[in-house]
Amino acid sequence: MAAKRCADLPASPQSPKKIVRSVAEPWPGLPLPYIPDGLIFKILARLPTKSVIRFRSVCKAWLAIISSQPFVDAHLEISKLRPTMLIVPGEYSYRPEREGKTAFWMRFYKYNNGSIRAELVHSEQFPRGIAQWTQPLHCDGLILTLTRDQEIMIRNPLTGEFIFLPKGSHNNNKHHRVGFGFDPCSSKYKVARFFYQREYGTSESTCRFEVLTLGSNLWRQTADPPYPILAVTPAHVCGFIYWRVDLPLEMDPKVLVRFSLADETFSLIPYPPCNARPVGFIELDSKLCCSCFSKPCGVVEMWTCDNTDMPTWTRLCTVLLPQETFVPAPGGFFRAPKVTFYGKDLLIIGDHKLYQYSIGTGQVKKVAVAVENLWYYHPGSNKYQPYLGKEVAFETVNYVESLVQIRGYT
Amino acid sequence: MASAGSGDEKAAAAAMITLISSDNEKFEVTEATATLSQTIRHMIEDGCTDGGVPLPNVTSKILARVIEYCKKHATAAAGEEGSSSSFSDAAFLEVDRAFLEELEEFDDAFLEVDRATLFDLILAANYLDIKGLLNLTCQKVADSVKGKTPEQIREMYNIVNDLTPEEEAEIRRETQWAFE
Repeated sequence: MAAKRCADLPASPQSPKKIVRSVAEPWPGLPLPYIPDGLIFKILARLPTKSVIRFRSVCKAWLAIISSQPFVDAHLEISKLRPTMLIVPGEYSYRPEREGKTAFWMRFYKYNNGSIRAELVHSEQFPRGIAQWTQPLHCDGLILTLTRDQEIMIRNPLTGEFIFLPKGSHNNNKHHRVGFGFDPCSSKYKVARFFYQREYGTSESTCRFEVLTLGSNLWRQTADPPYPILAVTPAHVCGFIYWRVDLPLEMDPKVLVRFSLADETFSLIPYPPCNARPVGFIELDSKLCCSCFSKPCGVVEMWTCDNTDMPTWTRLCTVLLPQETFVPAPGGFFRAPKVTFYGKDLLIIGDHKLYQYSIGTGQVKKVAVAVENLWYYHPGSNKYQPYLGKEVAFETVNYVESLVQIRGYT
Repeated sequence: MASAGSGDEKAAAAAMITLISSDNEKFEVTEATATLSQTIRHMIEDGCTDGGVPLPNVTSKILARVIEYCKKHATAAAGEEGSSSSFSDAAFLEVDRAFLEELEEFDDAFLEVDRATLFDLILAANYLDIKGLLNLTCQKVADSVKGKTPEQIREMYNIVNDLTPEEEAEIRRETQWAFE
């Protein structure tokens, strides 16, 4: 490679903080140490994604390093140490011709702990409108969203890459959900979904299952799942997707359905040994973690499970929930808050209010700058504006920045 | 730690190793300090440290700094042993936190060096295979360049732009947002 001199580095008497603010100084004829490409690789892998992308145009050697798959992988591993959360506000209007709520853009904001301003990471326009979407899914810096019209989109919000996936088989169920994860065996991203198919001549529906490997554009039907699957957002952990069973309480087999992205088969995982039913699933440090809400609502137990074939459950913590986070639902029910991780703390999100629970100290505190009262950057007006008083559905999703290219898999 | 599990930790910890810099200066360090370097650890395991370990790629100035780092972090590693940092145990977390804060302060002060020294430390950490020090120094360089433009980077590090104007325009067109 011609540009070895990019490794040559001169001395600076200034601290880096000062360098950032000053104009770059010229460094005439100092004896410079030679830094091999391997070390340039290590330094660049520690940069935020935006800087890395900008530095592709420094020289050919840097472009080659940054474009390589080992670099994308290394950068992702380091990026995983800095997890963040994205907020996706959905401002919908009602369109009778679409039989439901319609939005004309989808915007992804970064939640900056404590800052009132939500930074816009990525924005997509849909001039013809798009149906309401469900909880976004995340894997390695790629975000998948699914709409009520069963349109599935995957994008890398940082690089701006964006694709629609082909629609899957018709689902004879009003509610749809998909799972999204990385198969470590084939090193491919896969999308998995259930659908209900009506049996000919009967009113019975059977739960079927299909998988799409990113890049293949083709849904492949697998064996049927061992139990009908419930339309709640599943969790992806280390090549497995965890689903809940859709059976009445008295027939509840008290198991989760685990789908392996590697061999595309199902297995059953018993519920955690807890009186409450597991409701929400999230990933924590490469383990499945589920939130179990006990009756009457007010306490959540967080259980984690290892990824072995005979999984064992461990109770991580028990949290007394703030009353405010329960949203009344029709019929005297309450909708339980969403529990997610934020670094090593838990975030309890209910009715767009945020509570942070420290697992270390056991303290719950309300976060003043919650999802509902953030100021969101609007590119149209070039201003930060709140959504106060507007009917907005906010979705949140844990996220890490990455350089993963969708087209690298197509 | 090489001494861990040997059943004779005290004796092992007291064992001294002599490191010899490129300019022939000798440094006496404990085995616990020296084995933060995987390179030296392998030499010890192979039994070829009698008469000192020559390090022809590291000057005495840099070696002194590297040893300073290793001493601090070897104590840290010894302190961590036995204190299983269990997720739910608040008392342990408190101790760990104070300790980590102290270590972080040490690392920050340690990195207050000029750029030439910083890059010499990176090269030494790479040669001696000291993972923590390599991560720390690489992160320091990364932090110092992250807000820069490609032009500033080239100027700071005397890099010749060997991309054709067409190639550069193409890269910029693809990633315009990163320049805003």
